[in-house]
Amino acid sequence: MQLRTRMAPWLWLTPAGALLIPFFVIPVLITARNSVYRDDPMGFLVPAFSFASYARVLSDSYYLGVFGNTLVAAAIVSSITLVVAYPFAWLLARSSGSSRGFLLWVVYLPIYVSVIMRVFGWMVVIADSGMLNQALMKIGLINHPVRMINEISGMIIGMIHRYLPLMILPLMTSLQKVDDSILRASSNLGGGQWFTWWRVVMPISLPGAVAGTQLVFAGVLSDYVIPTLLGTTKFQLLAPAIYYEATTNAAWALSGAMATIVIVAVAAFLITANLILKRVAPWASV
Amino acid sequence: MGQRLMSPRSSHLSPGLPSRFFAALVVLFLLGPIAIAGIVAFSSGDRLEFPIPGFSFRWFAIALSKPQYIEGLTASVIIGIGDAILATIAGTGAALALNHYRFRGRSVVQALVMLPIAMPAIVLGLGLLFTLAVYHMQPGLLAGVLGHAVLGVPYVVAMVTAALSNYDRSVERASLNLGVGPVRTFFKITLPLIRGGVIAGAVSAFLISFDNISLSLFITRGDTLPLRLMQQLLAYADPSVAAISTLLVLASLAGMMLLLPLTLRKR
Amino acid sequence: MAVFDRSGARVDEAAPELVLDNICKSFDGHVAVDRCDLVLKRGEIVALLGASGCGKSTLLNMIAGFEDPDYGTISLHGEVINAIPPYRRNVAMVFQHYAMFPHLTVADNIGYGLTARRLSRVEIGARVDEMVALLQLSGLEKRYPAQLSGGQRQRVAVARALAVRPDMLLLDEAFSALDRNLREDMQLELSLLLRRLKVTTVLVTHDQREAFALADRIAIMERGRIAQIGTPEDVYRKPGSSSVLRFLGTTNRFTGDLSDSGEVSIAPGLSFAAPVRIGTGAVLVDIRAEDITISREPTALHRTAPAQVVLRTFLGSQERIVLKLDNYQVVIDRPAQVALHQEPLAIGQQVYLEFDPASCRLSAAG
Repeated sequence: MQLRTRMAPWLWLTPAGALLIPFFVIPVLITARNSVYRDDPMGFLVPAFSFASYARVLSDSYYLGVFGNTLVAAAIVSSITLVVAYPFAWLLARSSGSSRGFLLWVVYLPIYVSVIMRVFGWMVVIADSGMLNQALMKIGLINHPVRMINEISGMIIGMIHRYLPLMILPLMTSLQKVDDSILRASSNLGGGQWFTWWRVVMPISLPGAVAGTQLVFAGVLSDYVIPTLLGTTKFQLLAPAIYYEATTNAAWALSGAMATIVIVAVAAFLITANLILKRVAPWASV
Repeated sequence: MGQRLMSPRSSHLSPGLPSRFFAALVVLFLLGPIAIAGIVAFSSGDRLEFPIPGFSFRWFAIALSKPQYIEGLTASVIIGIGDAILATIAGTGAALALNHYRFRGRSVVQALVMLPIAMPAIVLGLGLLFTLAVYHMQPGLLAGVLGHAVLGVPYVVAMVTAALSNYDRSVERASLNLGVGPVRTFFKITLPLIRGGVIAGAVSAFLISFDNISLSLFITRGDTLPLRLMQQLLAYADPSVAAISTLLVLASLAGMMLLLPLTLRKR
Repeated sequence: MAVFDRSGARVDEAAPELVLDNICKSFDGHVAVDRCDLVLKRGEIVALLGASGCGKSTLLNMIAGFEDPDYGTISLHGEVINAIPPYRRNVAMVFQHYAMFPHLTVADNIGYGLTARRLSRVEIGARVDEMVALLQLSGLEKRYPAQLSGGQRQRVAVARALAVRPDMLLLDEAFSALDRNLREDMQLELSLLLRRLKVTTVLVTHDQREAFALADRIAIMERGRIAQIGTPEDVYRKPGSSSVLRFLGTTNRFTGDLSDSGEVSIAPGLSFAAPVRIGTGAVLVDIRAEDITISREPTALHRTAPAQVVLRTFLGSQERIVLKLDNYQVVIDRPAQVALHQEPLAIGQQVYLEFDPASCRLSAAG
């Protein structure tokens, strides 16, 4: 009986293990392993230990540029979505009934709609002859169409649209912890609007903001479709670059190195964010 | 924030006009492109233009007659259903293990099970590309099912965990007390009670996989619908892409309507 | 005339601390508070007692500034505060579920109001220490609310409110979330503390025991009005109306007939002279369980009637007996000591009721 209870959780974990270990854990390990093999110019991966790929990725301005571009894009998208999502999530957390249902539906809908359809919609809107340019010209703000599609601006807009729900939802979950009685208590004890926001609402929403940022970062790092359809080759992003190296160039070691760097960066980000969160918001994990 | 936290003058905590306006803008931003794409699907014109010249179903007919779309749709559905099943089995078991038991290594398992969300899918895709070669597997439908299942597990775990936290374990104890073994107790008692969470998780896994591009790029041969549509958009953007996407939205809305009664817990 | 409050301290009657004058408030056409007047002296503890929906919480919220009265003025120290927002009134509140800031430690929660008032770090530290000692929270300063028990959280809530040295303390059903023994202990402790510190307090509750345990005066509220206000003894022993009588204590209700000659009859063989004339016809007679006594023999008086014992329950300090009289179920409470010196009553035994007509209240039957 003792053995049974001790084994029980592991028995329940067997299907998950059978799926995740060969198809998640091992692939990550193999990626790391491949990154220290050598790319043969003939397109084969030679199992000879070499750091050449890392040397190339970390010194070549092109590859450094790709990393830099992606981080910059992620930072821009995270900040904008955070600022936009915050008041919306606050409203959502405090709404109820049919308006809450409607707002939640609006936030969840993009998840049900294919990303292709969303990108397609943006293509219609921001094309040179598209809606936005036509409207701006009609108003008289501009004389020639503004190039947004296949430009950085178009790509950023598309990403904001894609990742906004991912920022709204964790923020909303956090902000739901701020109920009316806490706001009243703060006011009762002498805290005005801004004091209450700074001392009560903002700290409580912090874990949500961090979670949202993590999701947005992960998204931008992986995004293939938006840079490809709305972006420009002058501003290369990580996912298309990795895909290109791995398939067209069959440079498995190189792409492996890029991917391993991403894994390490994401892990570092997760760990630091959680450590900082534990420091700044120890109550969240209590 | 344009909205006051609390108006000392009024007795409600309802939002003021500025924040409603802001919310309306956000709603417009989120829904706008989707609505526009939907409208373009009904265009009677020959090319991509907005506003549309006239109303017609022709692009729907064209989309449905394109073999690459139909193949893509079939592939996506097969992969989606397959991986939803796998992810649900794996995720439900994991959620139960994490929720019901305290064991050594629990936090490691918990982190591992939720990691696929935090990990950029591109890394997973690349890794699977490499690993398929090691397993002597080819990119294709089976690889797609397995890879997408990994992606879906965290969603299932999250949904089932939520369902588990809302439910009272003493019913399980009652079942055991009355002589029913643990496995049968799971199927007769636990599962029906957390049914809502399990179904929500399965649906999430399906949707995540259906829309996935970064992973499918590597582990399928351009089989899935989103990949086919992307190829079309890269080649020549026409309303057929909008048409088939709109059909999918309508289908998934219809599916939600049908599944909704199932997810609502019967008390 | 010198006035003394419960603790024996002399209180300046000439300087009321809180004055509510003709306060009215409606929500969507429904009247929540209907022309309420209240005057509190410094150091006084007043309870607003009533069932849910009687308007007591609305009144409290108006004192705190979370709601605005439609009419009427609220004055503190003689100054009208209607226009002052809640965060500038110095009236600290203890909320029903304590409204702890989950992201702050116990110490930070207590010091919160002081940070809002821009006290120096040193001062805040000293004040927090003082409160921790006063409410016996030593050792818990670094904990988070999620790590505390219900009773501990309540102490923190009280400490947090008292830390700002408020002009008034407001308690909003502050004991309802505690279980019975803890509740009574905390009520006693808080009562002693508030009297020692001479804090003017308004508390809102639906629990009579809480009101009786803490208050110098009790205001019974019904449908937005203050039905009666007085010391606990006054309100209990001299209820102004049937509804006030029914609200406090356990009551028996009979239907009877009031004749022209002033006789009320509620059952065959049971009639008495009405204490108050309220016309004639059908009336409702309310009388407390402890105001009825039992005798084993009929007396010659016309206001006794035979009843059968249905149930006898031992409640510790009291004994509760349920009788069947005509088609009424009559509840009688008497000190357990009385029963000790008698033969125990048997189920089915016939006994006779007796009571003083002055202790019942009549109202017109609807």
